[in-house]
Amino acid sequence: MRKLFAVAAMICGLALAGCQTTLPSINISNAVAMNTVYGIENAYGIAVNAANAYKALPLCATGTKPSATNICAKRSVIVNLQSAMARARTAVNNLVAFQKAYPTLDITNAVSAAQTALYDVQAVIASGAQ
Amino acid sequence: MVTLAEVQAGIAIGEAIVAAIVKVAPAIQQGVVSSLPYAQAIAGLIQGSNATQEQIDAALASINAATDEFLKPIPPDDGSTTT
Repeated sequence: MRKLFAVAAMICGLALAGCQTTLPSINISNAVAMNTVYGIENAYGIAVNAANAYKALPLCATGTKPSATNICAKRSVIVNLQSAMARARTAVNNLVAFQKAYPTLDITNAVSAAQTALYDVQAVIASGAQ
Repeated sequence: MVTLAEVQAGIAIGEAIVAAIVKVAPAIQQGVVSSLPYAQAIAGLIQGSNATQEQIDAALASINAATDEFLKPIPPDDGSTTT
């Protein structure tokens, strides 16, 4: 009876040990990185859609300004925006590439670069309202 | 999960951009509508959903395609649109 109990205990112990090695694990830092990257991607998506909508407007005639009665896009704003958007795309693509290549590393620097590039885009678009 | 402050910062960028665009030209509702999926994705993050690698890759493909469209050169200036 004692032997039987000891064997049962040993089997239970091994089973528990087995459970410990097969418990599902969640990489929290990776989840944070992925959510951050996805959030920035979508902010960028809003920006590029707005930029495309702006570009689709008729160009303002020389010497005129956009207004409620003169709905148009400034050529200079589109050109500046293309430059800023190209930089932002590079930054966001770099961010995604970094997150995929190094899923457990800190992405703060890549995030900051993407955010800065998006703020630049925002500033250029805002200049179109002047 | 991304922090609320980070999400709010992202939304603030989007809102500022949309506000600036609408101020420039009120007739760009199409751009606002096409931004809806991105706004919904941000809303999902706020509500606690976690992004997957597939979502990240799909979003990247989408925004890169939209950027390609935006980066196409505008027609050359003939002097009538130098503003």
